[in-house]
Amino acid sequence: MKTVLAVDDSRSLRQMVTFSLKTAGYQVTEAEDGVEGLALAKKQVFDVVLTDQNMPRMDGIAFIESLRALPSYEKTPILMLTTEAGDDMKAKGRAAGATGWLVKPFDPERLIAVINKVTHRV
Amino acid sequence: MNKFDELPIGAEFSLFSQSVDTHVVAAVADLRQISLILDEAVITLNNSFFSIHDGLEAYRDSCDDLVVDQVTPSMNKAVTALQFHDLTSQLLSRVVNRLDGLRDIVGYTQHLPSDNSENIAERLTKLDRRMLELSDVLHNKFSQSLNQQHMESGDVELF
Repeated sequence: MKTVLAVDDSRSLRQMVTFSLKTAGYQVTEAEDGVEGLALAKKQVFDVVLTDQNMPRMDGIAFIESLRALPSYEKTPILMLTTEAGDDMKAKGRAAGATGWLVKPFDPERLIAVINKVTHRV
Repeated sequence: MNKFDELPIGAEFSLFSQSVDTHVVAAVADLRQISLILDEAVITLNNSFFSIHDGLEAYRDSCDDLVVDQVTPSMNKAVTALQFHDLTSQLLSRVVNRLDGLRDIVGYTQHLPSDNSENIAERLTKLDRRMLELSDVLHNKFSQSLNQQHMESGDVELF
């Protein structure tokens, strides 16, 4: 079973991500922010990482930069799932090492399709 | 004659500042109350949603595929709509932070002298400059974009 790390400070958003991906056969682990996400990522190598941008303690861009500095996450798909839709922010995300950018709110079928694509399940 | 008439300009600014501050504090309190109500409502909505889903799953094997096909799009729409809490919480938080910043800006007028003994024109120029600085700080702090006008799903882009 493929594993997904979902990082978001909104509990309800994490619940919706977990619900959507579990129905598609993914095992989802949740983290409240970049600091917690990074700690979990060091303990276990996830197949995909999904992260919000605006979070306390460590935002999404800093989280991606920290993840990419870990040898085990050099090639891992990291998707940003955020309310931010500006080109400047997308460029920062891309420079940090994001694989893709999804603007909230997400549609479950589209989210699953993207995750399937980056994990080569389709 | 109202209370602002015949007062030294510094005292007028101080009264103005206190008056604005009272309303901003009340507005922030209302916004925090809205946030609490939304938090409580979304917990109930999410729990109900998951209960309905679990109930449907229990009957999945005995359900006609047509029924499942009819229900799934509605469930997906509900998942998208239930993300309202994340978006509205962010917007409410930004409004509260902006109002707090506005209090700082307006509160600065209380630094004016309460009588006309000093060169008031010079002090007003300094005040104007400082208020612009505070306004810029506030603007830069909230330059992030959150432009969603409705609850349709957002764009997807793979790099």
